Amino acid sequence: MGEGEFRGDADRLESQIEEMAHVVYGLPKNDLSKSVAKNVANQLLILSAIKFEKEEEPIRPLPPVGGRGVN
Amino acid sequence: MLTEAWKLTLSEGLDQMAEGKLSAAEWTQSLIGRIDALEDRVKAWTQVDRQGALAAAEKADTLRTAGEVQGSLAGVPYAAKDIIDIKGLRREAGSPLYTGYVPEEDAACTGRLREAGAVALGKVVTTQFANRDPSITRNPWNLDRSPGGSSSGSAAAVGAGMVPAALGSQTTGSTLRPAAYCGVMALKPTYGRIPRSGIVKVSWNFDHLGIIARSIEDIARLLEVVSGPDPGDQGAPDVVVEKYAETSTPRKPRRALFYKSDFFPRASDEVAERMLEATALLKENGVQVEEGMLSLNLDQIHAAHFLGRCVDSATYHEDMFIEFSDEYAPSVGMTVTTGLMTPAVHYLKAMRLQARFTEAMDAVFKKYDIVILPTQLEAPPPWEESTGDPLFNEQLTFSGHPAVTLPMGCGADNMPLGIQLGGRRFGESDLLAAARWCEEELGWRSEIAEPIG
Repeated sequence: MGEGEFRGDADRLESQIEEMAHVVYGLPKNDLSKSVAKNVANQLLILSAIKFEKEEEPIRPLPPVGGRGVN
Repeated sequence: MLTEAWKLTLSEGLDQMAEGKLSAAEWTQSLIGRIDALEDRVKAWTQVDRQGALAAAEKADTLRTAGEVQGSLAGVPYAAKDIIDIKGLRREAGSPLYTGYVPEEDAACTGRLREAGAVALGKVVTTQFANRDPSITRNPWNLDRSPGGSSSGSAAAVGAGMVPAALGSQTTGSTLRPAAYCGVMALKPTYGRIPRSGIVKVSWNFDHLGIIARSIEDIARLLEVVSGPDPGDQGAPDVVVEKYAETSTPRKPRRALFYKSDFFPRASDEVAERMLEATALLKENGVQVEEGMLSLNLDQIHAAHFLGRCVDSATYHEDMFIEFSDEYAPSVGMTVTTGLMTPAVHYLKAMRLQARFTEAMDAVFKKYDIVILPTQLEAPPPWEESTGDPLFNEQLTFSGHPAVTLPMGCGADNMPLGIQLGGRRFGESDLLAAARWCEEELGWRSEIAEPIG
């Protein structure tokens, strides 16, 4: 699996995530929002490190037909 | 009449009724007696419908006596997690926001159980909105410990012998982990196998209904009734529903893949030791067990599943959360807040990763009959601290492949430990057949707990 990269500003990621939720949804800024923003930033960095193919669809493959599994 | 009919498994009870040795009313009354004896300590139920259950049981007995054709579960008592609608019974989802709410219709699954003649004994405790804040329910093996969650009441009630089977749900590890903690068996079926119409949602992408019981045959009997498409759930495809109790007669799996390296670094010593014993036993009995690794690491799967689940929850709860945030328990609040903070493109990266991982797991099952992993990281924690870590249940929930948990004895502190087996999508017959073989040949069986403490 190839590696992707995070092209944003990692130093401001937590504060900007918190700000976005405040601006868009009216979430209050407090200890909870800071704690959650820190965790979200960590998870975003993990996902950003994964490289995806351009045509890779975000749709789960169809289930097998016939009811006895995919084989 | 059997004086201790509450000890019967679902299949044993059906056999007893067919032979005329037990009536549905006697069975139901015996279970109510067991509930009355233990409920003040186990706290598994939100509502026991004594009157309604006994009336339904007596109706099943009357029809049986008259020789009328009945459904396959006529007179069988069951319970449903309190996020699942049963017409006329409260459905509060563990939240003060739903206090006193009574649905006017059954969920798809409970409606099918009603059609099959099953007796709804009542509703069992869920953590708030099926998240991770501990509920009041205790583990019947040790009342100081957690029964797990979010299907806390489902697992505790079955483990304590209060009911032979219960419906739960799983968005991360909410059916398999509680079942393992409480020493019973469970199935988290393929995504979409059981329609989710009529349940409170956590995540459209990851919600599965689950079945908890004390034998795999019991699970198969329930699965064949509740499965199949429903107009209310676009995630439930029209894949043939088999007669799972017949098609899952015990069969030894030929090839198994053991995900040792992925999980052992994070498992407790006793979980790791017991898993090594379990896989050695499989090999001694002729199963070809190989070791392998997942196509993604646990942290990558967690990031994608966690953010995807939280965005779904935030979408579902947004309006209510912003207006009534004080009514939300801490972990639900964190879930919704996380979802509101997640950028859309990263949400779709998570969904892309789900598609990629699902395809990779499909490929694994072209070579192996089952995959093996622990159900839990460690023994259940103190009940008031946590419902335990669902990390080891996240992978097959993420991919949507079916998984069962079987008890494999107890750890040093006499708390049950579980082994998890996964199978191919919509291959429940083969997975349950392998699990029944393990149950019968390797002795991985459920026991009823006698609460202490």
